[in-house]
Amino acid sequence: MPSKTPDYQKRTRIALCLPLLVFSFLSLGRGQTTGTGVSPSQPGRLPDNRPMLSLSPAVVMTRGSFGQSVTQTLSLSNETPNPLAFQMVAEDVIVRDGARVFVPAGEMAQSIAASAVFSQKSGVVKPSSAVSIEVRLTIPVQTNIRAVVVIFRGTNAIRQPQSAVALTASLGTLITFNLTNDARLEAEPARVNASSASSNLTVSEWLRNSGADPVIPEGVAAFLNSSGKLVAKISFSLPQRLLPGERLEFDAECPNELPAGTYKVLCSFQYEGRDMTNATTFDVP
Amino acid sequence: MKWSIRPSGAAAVAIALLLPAAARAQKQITKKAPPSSLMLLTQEETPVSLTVVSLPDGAPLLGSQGGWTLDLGRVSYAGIPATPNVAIERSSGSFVVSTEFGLMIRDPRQHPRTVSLLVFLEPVQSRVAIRIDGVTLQAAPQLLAAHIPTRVVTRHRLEIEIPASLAEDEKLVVNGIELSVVPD
Repeated sequence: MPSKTPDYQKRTRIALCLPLLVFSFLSLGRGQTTGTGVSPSQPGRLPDNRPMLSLSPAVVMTRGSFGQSVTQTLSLSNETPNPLAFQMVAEDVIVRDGARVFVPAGEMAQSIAASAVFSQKSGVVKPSSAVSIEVRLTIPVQTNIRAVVVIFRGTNAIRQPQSAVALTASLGTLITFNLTNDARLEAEPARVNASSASSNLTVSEWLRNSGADPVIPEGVAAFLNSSGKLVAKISFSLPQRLLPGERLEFDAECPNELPAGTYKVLCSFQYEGRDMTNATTFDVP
Repeated sequence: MKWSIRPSGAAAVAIALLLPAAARAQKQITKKAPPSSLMLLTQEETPVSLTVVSLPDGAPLLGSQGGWTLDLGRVSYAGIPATPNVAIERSSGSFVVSTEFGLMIRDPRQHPRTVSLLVFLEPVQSRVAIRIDGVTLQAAPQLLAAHIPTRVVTRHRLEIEIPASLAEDEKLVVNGIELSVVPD
């Protein structure tokens, strides 16, 4: 036992070495990494571009009815120099207070994840090899859940000779279900943020999926001057998926510098074959 | 002739009336027994990558591809951390060792998208509490961040809360912080 001083009766000395084992290129989906894709603000070293661990497909979108099933093959490829032990896990993805929550299978009534049947529950992927696992999911006769994530959960934590914390990586595939034709979006009033010396003018709009099925809204902002002439048309940046109840802000950045005047911006979103448009006016001083 | 034609005409009329009804019945039967499999709409194959990035104000990140080491060095309740950018915060019953690190989600194909980052602990550590961005890690995956855009370095704070009762010179073995990337 170590010696202890009166002042530090519970003095503890611990060596910590944190190996962040990250299969440094954890990839979802197949394909070679071809570019660095590093933002100018990136601190530190540039990592190797070679993908080391990949899962395919990354997202699966399905349409059907309650009571139906889907069988999907997921392929995990290991290009790391180490074997990867994994365990298959399915979780329900729901929305609470506008944000996603991942719920372990079976915790919720009408869980879809609880129905997951894997062709192989666990295994090891050797270096430079791949494994394919089939997962079968069955939709309950009644459920409000519309998404499940299937994770290849890594189980072989790297153990260092010294005290260590290992950070391992795992990969998940998102599977979504469109089970009704109830696709609805609610939009809050668009907001215009004036340009500054360091930023362009942006339009922001919160969208909420008030329907029962997932939607992927794609939007455009059209800028009209006081005489109604179109002066700029820009796309909202990311076509993001909204699960039922989910709320997200969509942004569009206007690259043009608008002359002083009064403008109207029309924000149009398309989803599931439907359109939604609203407008707001603003002044450029 | 008329007498013999009448039944034929009636039969024809009856057939004409019954056929659509039979067809409707067939459709109803089809509706009652839908295909047992969901229809696959699309699959996204776009790759997404994650890597750990050292931050200027974080602990040094060692290692190369396939393994990274964030070395916090030797720390103690009373001592001053020898490693730069490693902080210790003391309370009566424990002390917290912390540092910053970065994560970068990348999309080599330059396809703009966002991902969710889940974090969990395997196996669960009973002697220390490990937190990332204030989220105490557990066996069940928890959402660390959602809608993380690609090609952006996100800053994260790692904290390890160690009970002061842990014996001096005792090695602390903490394995299995696991990050799971799920496309949004």
